[in-house]
Amino acid sequence: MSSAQIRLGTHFCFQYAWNENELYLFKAAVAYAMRQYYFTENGQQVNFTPENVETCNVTERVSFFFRVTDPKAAASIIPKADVEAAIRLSRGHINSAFLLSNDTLEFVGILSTLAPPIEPPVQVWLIVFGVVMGFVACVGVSSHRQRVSGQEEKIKKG
Amino acid sequence: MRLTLPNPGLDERIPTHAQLEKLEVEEADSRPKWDNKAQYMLTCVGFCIGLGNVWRFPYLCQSHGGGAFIIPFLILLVLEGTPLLYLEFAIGQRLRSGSVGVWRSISPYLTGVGIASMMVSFLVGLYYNTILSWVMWYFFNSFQEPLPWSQCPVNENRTGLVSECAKSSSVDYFWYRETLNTSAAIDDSGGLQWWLVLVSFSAWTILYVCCLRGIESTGKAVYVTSTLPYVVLAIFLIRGLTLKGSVSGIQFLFTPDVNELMNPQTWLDAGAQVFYSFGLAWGGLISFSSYNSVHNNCEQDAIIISIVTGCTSLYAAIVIYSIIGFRATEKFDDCLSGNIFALLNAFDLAEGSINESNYETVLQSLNGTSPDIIQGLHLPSCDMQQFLSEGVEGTGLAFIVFTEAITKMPISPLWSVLFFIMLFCLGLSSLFGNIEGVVVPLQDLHVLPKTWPKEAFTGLTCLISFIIAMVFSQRSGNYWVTLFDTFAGSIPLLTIAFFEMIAVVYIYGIDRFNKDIEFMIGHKPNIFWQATWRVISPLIVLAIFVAYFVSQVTKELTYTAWDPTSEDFPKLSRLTYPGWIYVIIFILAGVPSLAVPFVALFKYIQNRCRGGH
Repeated sequence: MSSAQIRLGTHFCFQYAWNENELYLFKAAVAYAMRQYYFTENGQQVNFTPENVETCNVTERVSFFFRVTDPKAAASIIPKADVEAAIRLSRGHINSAFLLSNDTLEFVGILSTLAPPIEPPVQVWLIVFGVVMGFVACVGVSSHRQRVSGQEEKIKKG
Repeated sequence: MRLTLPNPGLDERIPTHAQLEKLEVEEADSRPKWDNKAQYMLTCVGFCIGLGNVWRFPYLCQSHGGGAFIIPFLILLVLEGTPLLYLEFAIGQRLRSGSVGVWRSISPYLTGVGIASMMVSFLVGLYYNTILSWVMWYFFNSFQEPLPWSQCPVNENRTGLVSECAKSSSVDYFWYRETLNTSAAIDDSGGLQWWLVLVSFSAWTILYVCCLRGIESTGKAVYVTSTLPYVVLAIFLIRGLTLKGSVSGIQFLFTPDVNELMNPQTWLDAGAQVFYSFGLAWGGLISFSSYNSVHNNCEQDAIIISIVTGCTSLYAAIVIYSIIGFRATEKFDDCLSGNIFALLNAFDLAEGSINESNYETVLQSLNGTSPDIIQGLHLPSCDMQQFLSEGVEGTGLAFIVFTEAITKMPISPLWSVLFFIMLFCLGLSSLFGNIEGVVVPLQDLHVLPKTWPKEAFTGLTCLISFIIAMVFSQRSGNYWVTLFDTFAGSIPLLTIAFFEMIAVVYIYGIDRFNKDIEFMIGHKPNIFWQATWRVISPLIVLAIFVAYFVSQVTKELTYTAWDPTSEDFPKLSRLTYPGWIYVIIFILAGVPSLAVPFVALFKYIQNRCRGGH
C-alpha cells in the first residue's frame, strides 16, 4: 500500500481540538510540501491542492493514513518515496503549522536527520578554568608580597 | 585500679604546667596561633564536615531503616565520637605539638602512631583531591545552557544518538565517557587524559595557595569554605521543598524500620560513619588544637563540634533526599507517560483516555483481552521505590543522580554552579586538615632542613601529591580512586585510633591526663569521660576493626566497572581484582598500620644498640 501513515503524540496537550478543519490544514500543508518538493528537486511547478490528499482509517487516536494523487491525472497515486522525500524536506513547516515538533508529530517510517547539538565555538570550561586560575595566581602573588613586606618590616624593627 | 605501663623519662620530654603557664603569660611561644576562637571552630567544623556527610550518611540512613538509623548513629556519636574528639583536642592542647611530636613526647616508641597518621593523611589526600578536581570539572562545565550532561551527542551519520549514551543515559555518558573516559577494567590503564590532568593541577594549586602559610592562610579561607555549604544547603532546601515529589523523598529517607536495629551491620556502619565523619586519627585535629591557648575549654569545643557534625549530617540528608524525591517523581512520571503513549499508539485509543489514575486498570483489562500485543510492547515497569533507591551514594550521587535532578530544574546552570561550589568547599576544608596532618609531622621529623620555610614544605607536598595523583587521571583512574577509598582510609585509621587511646590512657597515664585537664580547664573530666576513654571507646573501635578486617579478608575482592561491551550494560559489571592489586592493597592498608609496631621495634633496637655502647 503506497500510503504514508501519520500519528500524533500524547506527551504534550493539543492547544486545540482535532476536527475536520485541522484535517483540512494538514491536507493543505502536505500539498504545500509536495509543491515545494517538485519545484526544488525537478524544477516543475505542479499545483497540488488539498483535494489531492486523501485520508483513510481515521481513528479516535488522531492517527490516520493518507496518500497523494497527481493533480493532472486523478487516478494515479504519487509513489510513497516521493511523498516521504517531500515531507522530509518541509518537515519544519508542517510542524510549525500545528505548533508541534518532530517528537509530537510523527510520520511513521520517516526518520528525520537529527539536528546536531549546539556546540559553543570555544570550550566554555576552558574559559572558566582560565578565569579561576588567574584569580588564584593573583591571590598567591599578593600573599607572597605580603609575607615579603612583613619580613622586611621585622628586619627593620629588629 | 589504675593500670599504667612504665614510661621512664616522660617528665623530661613534655613541658610542665609551670612552663606552660609561663609561655601563656609571656606569649613567648613561637608556634602559630589562631586569630580568634571562631577561626578555630570553623576550621574544625570544616575538617569534620566533608563529602561523606553529603553522600555517605544519607545513603546509610535510608538503607538501614531510615529514621531508625539515627538511634545507633547518635548512641555511637556519644560513646565513640565525642570521647575520641575530646581526647585528641586535650592531648594536642597539652603537649603543644603535631601528631608526631605528641606521640613522641609521650614515648619515643610511639612515634610510629604519628608516622602512620601522616601516611594515611597523605594517601587519602591524594584521592580526595582527585574527587575535588572532578567537582571542579563539573563546576567549569556548568556555565552553559543547556548543561552538557543534559543531552546525548548525535552519532556520525546523524540518524540517532550515540549508542553508549542511548542505552544508558546522558548523565551516565557524560560522567563515564566525557569526564573519566573510563576503561573497562583496572588493568587497562589507557593513558593520561589531558583535561583531567589540567583540573587536577588547578585543584592542587588552589589547595597550595590556601595552605601557603599554614593556619594564617587557611584560617582566612575557612570563613568562606566552612560557611558557604550551609548557605547553599539552605537554598537547595527551599528550592527542593517547592519541587514536586520532594516530600516523598524525605518520607522515604526517614521511614523507620525498627527491625534494622537488630542487624549488626547497621551498628557497624553507624560506628564507622561516626568515626570517619569526625576526622579522628588523621593528626589534623591534634595539630589544630595545639595552636590554642593552654586554658582553652576543649571539653566544650568537643561537645559543640560533635553536635554540629551530627546536626549537619541530618540537615544534609534532608536536602539530598528532597532532591532525590523530586528526581524519582520526574522519572516515574516520564516512565508512566511513555507507557501510556505506547499503549495509545498500539491500540489507537483517543487522547486522554488513559491517564495516571486509570493506567493500572486499563493495563489489566488490555492484558486480559490481548496479552500478546502487551508482551510485544516491552513496557518497562515504573516503580517509584526503585527510582528512589537508585545509586544514591558516593560519586554516583553527586555526578549522576544529582546532576540529573538539576537538569530537570528550571535555571539549571545556577543550581549546578551552587551545588559544585558547595561540594568543593566541603572537600577543600577537609583537605586543610589533611595537609596539616602531613606537613607538620614532616617538620617534626626533621626530614628536611629546618631553614626551609613552611611554604616549601607545603609546596613540596602538593607537588609530589600532584605527580602521584596522575595515576587517577588515567582512563582507569576511577577504579584506583575506589581502591584507595576502600583501603587507605579504613583499616589504618581504626588501628591508629585504638593505639591513640591506649597511649593516652595506659602509657601517658589517665591520672596524669586528668590532672592536665584540670590544669587546663579547671575541673577534672567526670565519670562519663573516664569510662569511655578507658573501656568503652577502645572496645567499640576494636570491634569495628575486627569486623572490617574479617569481612575484607574473607570475601573475594571485587569492584564494579563500566563496560559498554558487556551483556548487562548499562548495569555495572562486577570484576575481581587482578593478583598484583593485593600488593597495592597491602601498601595502602598494611604499611601505615604496621608502621606503629615496626617503628616501636626499630626504636627499641636503636636504644639497645646505644645502651650497649
